[in-house]
Amino acid sequence: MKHCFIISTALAFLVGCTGVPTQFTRLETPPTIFPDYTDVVIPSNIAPLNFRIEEKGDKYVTVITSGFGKTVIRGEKVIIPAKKWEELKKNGQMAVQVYVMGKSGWQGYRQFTITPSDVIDPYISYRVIMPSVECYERLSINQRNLTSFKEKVIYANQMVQNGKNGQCINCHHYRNYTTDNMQFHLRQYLGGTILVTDGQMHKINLKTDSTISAGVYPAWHPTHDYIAYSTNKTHQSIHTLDHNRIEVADEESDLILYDIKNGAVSIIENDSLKFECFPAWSPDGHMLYYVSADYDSPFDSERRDKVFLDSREIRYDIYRKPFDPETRTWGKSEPVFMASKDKLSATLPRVSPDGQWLLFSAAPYGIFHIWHRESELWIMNLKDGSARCAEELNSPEVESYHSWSSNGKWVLFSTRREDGAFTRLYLAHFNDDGSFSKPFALPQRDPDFNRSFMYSFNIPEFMIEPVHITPRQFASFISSTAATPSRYESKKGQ
Amino acid sequence: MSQVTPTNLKQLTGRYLKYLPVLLALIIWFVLILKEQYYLRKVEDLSLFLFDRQFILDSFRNPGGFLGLVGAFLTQFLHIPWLGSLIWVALLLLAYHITVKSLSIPAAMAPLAMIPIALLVIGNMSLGYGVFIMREQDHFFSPVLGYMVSLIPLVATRRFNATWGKICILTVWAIAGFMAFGTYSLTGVLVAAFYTMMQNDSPGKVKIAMVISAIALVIIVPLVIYPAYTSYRLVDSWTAGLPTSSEDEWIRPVRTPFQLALLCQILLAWLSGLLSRMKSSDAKTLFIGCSAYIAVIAAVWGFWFKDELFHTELAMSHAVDNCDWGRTVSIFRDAVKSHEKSDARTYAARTRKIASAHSDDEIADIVDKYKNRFYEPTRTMILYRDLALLKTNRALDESFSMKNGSRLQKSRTQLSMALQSGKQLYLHYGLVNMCYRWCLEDAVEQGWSNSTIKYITMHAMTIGDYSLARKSINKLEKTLFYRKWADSQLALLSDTASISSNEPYKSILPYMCFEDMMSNDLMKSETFIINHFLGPQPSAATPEYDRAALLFAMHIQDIRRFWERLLYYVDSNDFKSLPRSVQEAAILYSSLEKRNNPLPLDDRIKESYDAFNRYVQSHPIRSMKESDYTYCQKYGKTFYYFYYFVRDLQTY
Repeated sequence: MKHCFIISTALAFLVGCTGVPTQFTRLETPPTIFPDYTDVVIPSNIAPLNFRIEEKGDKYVTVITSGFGKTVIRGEKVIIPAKKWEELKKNGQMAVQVYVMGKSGWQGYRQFTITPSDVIDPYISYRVIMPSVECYERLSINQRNLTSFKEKVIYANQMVQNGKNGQCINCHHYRNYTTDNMQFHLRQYLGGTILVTDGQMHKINLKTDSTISAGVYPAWHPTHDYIAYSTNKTHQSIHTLDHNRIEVADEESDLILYDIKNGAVSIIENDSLKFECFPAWSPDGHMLYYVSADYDSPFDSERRDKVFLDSREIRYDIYRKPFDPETRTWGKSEPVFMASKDKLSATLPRVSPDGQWLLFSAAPYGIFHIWHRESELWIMNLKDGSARCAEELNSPEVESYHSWSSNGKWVLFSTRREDGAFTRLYLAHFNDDGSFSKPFALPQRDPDFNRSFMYSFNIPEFMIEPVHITPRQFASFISSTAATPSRYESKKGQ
Repeated sequence: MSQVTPTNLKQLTGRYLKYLPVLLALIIWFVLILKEQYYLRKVEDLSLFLFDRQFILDSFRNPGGFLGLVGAFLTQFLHIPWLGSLIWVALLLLAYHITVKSLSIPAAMAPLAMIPIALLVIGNMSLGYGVFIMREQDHFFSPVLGYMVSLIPLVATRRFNATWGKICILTVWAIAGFMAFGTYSLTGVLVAAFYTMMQNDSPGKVKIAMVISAIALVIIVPLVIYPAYTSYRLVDSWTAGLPTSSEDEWIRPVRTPFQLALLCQILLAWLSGLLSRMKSSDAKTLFIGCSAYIAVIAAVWGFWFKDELFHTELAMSHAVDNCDWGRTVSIFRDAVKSHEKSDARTYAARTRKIASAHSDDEIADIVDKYKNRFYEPTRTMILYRDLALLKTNRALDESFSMKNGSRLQKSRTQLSMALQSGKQLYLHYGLVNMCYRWCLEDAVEQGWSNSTIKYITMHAMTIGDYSLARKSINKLEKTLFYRKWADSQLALLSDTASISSNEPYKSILPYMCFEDMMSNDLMKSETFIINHFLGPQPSAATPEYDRAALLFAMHIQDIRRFWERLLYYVDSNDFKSLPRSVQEAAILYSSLEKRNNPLPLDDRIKESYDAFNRYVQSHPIRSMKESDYTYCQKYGKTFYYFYYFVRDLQTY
């Protein structure tokens, strides 16, 4: 037997009048539960952390105690009533005691704790997608209220697409966590970038004759009306045998800046010997972080295939580029983290709201780490330049897209740790010393949800408010509005 | 002995006509069991019903969700074809009975109620290759359920005399019914209104109120309910709940029979007043009844998708799923054999025509015209057969001794092999990541099915992704008929070392000896499989891999690649003598290249090749197509025949 145990002695009732066993074998390990919420630090405003007890038994009793409050829940599915949950959270740290009636009687597992801490932004949004290659019949961008289990669709492609007129939707993004200024892209049918500025919808075509594609990965300037985008010629390929299954690579990629007021696109970086991608602003808007990889290959018909052949040697480093938002001029790029020196490829740099920390993904090669099991989250202290793999967040499976909460106390990231194939969202508290508390799965009403849901969640983003435009309003606007072309302006500054 | 008079003849005929629907239902049931069991299994295989909260909730994301849920629930019983088809046939009979009763159709005119039922049968049985691209997984049962549901408002409104009561019922039904049953509920509203309109005992005001209310409800209700959903376009509101396909070209043909069935229902309601006044003893009535039956039987027979190649593919697919390699080959063999006589007749007919032809052009036209009348297997059949032969190490002896060809699907559009059999072929040929890819693409386009989850499980087991395998198995544990299979996989998971000694993994893993590459099949599965095996030689190639590679090199009739793959084959395989087809290819290719054959050959192969050459000299070939049959009769089991006569194969 894997657990060490001590037989507790008591001659009183086998089970107390509250249904809580009074005589039981005390085990020194916590119970196996799904999702794993043992000893986690949680936001003080999060929805109940419902879980399933994974120990074999005939009867289950869970006692959650906090301050003077106590709740007893029977059954292997521990569904905590919302009101009780609120009361328990108010009284500070919760102690959870699980009892399981097995063949040899009741067993009491070691208590585990759930510790409420800083508040979290009440909303997040993500894309719900099948982890497929080319087909995208059912895609939606959804918003979830973190204080409850309420989830709503922001926009779904099925509201406008039909048959061959398929529509891909991606890259939802918000300015400073507010939803009156947000964007997402539509590809193919009725394509364009849906830009919401001060609550007004616009549809823009960001592709110009001088850029390689429309805008892709966005970064909205925190103080001025600019959005930095990468432009990418992206392709997918299938690994015939590798456990990573799919590879996504850019044949070309650059960075552009979209000036919202002027409707103008200008180049930020377009070195033909480099791939540039994933822009992210510093909180003051004076620095643009991005990733860049060296790649020297002729721009001919074989380039696409060559990119895949070379993909294991393509590694991205993190750079930053000074920016003066008033004059819209750029300074010279400087390296931030040279991942390639350590045979790593760094992507998705995201700066913490206080500007001190940089969270990014790193894997042995490539750009699209959601398909790289080796991908891990790294944290870098921008003050002293030290970087480390955030072991406390990572798992043997993929960790990829991540976001900081607006107060910088929480990170939300996507991971495939549960089954290796479907992306799930996890939260973790960011401590003052630059470490993270144990990550935990986004709570769901049904603890079995993550196991039974056959879709992935990707691009998780925090929001401090819900999106107010209804799905119908988006659909109607998208169907009735042609994309406004953007104008190309030559590069300013360096 | 009583005398037969026109009057009692009519009575007798009328009496028998009454039982004809039951007889027809029984005939359909028998045909389904005897001829369509693999089709029914495929329908079930491509569907999914889970005893799972998430699954049930997800079903309600479209109007008509409840109907879909019940349809999916019943579809799983097709796993036992006699049972599932019995349920379906019983529902058809019930639908017929309810139509007659609720519309008060007199017995003599009851055969007219068979018309919409026949359309429901046609809808399901004319589908053919469309079954692989059906989007709603409940498509087999939902139409008949929906058809019956659409008669509910009629039954309910007939119980009320007050106009407002009838209109209230219609309104409540239209709103609640639309969410639960989709467009079938709207049809029901129209049926009830038109029925009331055509009844003599209804006052004119009631008739007008009912019809106006019904039309208004049909227009307004979907508009009102639309904002509650985010899963469809407004214009699709009026087809919600009807079967549909993931391919544009198929949507209209798939839906038309069901839409016509609903239209018939409305027409019968419209004609109900007239029908009720028709006398049962009237010869005209009897004539209409008989005509309806004849039309129904003819239409069902005519539209039923009876294509033999399709059915052979389904049977082979089923055998491959069971790793029953012997059966896979015997199905193929039997299919070819069953056409030997008809091929001989076709040849005789063609010879007669050619004998009376006056010019070479005319002969060429005749040959072309008859080309498709000779039996030819599809590429899917060939790949299944070769797979089975490879798994039993008989491919290099037998593959070219059997019929080869590339007959295209008898289908509205050539359905890509990737969508039809891609997952299965990729898995068993060891290209497990491509199998995974098509599972996901299928799941996106058509929704998750028993089949995709099963293949994902097998993919995950082969690459050692046990957490994904466990997730998929957990899904199948929530099905009625795949639990046992899921349990067997769970048992393997508890002892992962045993995976490699159990089917299908035992026969898949030897093919997975190649080095990873990045590639894309562009939906051409066969081309991809061939290119894969003829690609770079794996450093740890297994005998199984080299056998497959040599087989594909022979299939593409590439002499250089044959020699190249033969070397690898000889290197890795143990054999007393080279397989027959390999020897035949070696002697043929050596001769074509005018060099000495480097391999030890059996005397009988040398004799056979010499005999073939003598036969060629004594039977000059005017055109390959024309001589094909005679050469096939004599040398159809040799590689020489394959090399010269099986050319220009098409894949899809």
